[in-house]
Amino acid sequence: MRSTSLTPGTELATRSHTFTTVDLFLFSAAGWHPHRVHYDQDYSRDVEKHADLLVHGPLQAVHMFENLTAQLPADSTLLSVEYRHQATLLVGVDSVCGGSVRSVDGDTAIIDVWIRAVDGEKPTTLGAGVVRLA
Amino acid sequence: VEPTNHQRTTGRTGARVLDETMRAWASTPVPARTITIDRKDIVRFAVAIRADDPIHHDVEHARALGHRDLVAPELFYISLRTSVYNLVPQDQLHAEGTPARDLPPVEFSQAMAGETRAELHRRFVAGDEVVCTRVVEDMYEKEGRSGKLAFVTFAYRYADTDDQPYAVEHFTRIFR
Repeated sequence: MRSTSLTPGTELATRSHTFTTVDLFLFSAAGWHPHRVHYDQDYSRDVEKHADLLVHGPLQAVHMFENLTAQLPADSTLLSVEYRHQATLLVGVDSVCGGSVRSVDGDTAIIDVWIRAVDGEKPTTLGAGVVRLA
Repeated sequence: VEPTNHQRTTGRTGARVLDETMRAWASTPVPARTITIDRKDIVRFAVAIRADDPIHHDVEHARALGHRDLVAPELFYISLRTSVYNLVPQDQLHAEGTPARDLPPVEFSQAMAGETRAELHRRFVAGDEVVCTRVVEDMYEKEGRSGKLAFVTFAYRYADTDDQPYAVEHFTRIFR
């Protein structure tokens, strides 16, 4: 569903997703990601000391921004993005992404976005997008 | 010369950002690469991120909207950083799986993704010929709670053959 009224403070609808090993495999394959923490469970646990396979940071970012662009007026344009990873997100963990409008200036808006584990206290990845509204 | 001294260590040897070895690594040019985005690349990426808009999957739909061919998701450039620059022979991959060449000659126990900023100039469309370039644009170090952290920022630029950009990404990796 596309929103037509974006004003500062407007909250984006949230979207939930549980990343599966298939999500991780397909993203590694599509982008040729050979880092073993995303597909080699023994390596991820024994060598890099993670509890399980990690969801790629960029995959989390893509989900945050796809959730954003799906709610923009048709023909809006994403002009720039920025994001940073705060914590790991493990495969099989229920996650949710959302965001809110930070500012609107003419036809340009800055929208903050985040993704976190449903049971987590802080975002695993967060960022912002600059959007030209149609 | 491939950097070889980036083995994982448990010691706190600290990063050596400003030494000659690092400067030499950072200034070693990485040749530009020209690739063609094909429909398969776009569909695979869209499937992987669960983007089901038919503009990524159905050529007739994309053309009916005025596009020449399938249009990639906004953040498609993310897949180019890896799929273009990770294509090296397997014996040039670090034990973690990524190309040894892309890791700076510092000792570290963890390599982490830092902040990413990207300017998105226009969408990638199937059939586009894209010139990919990468430079190290910044290096600095900070004192963290557990020792020195080295920050290396890469700039990846994707442009057409007339040098008009599709996307420019500034991607920082942190070595602890």
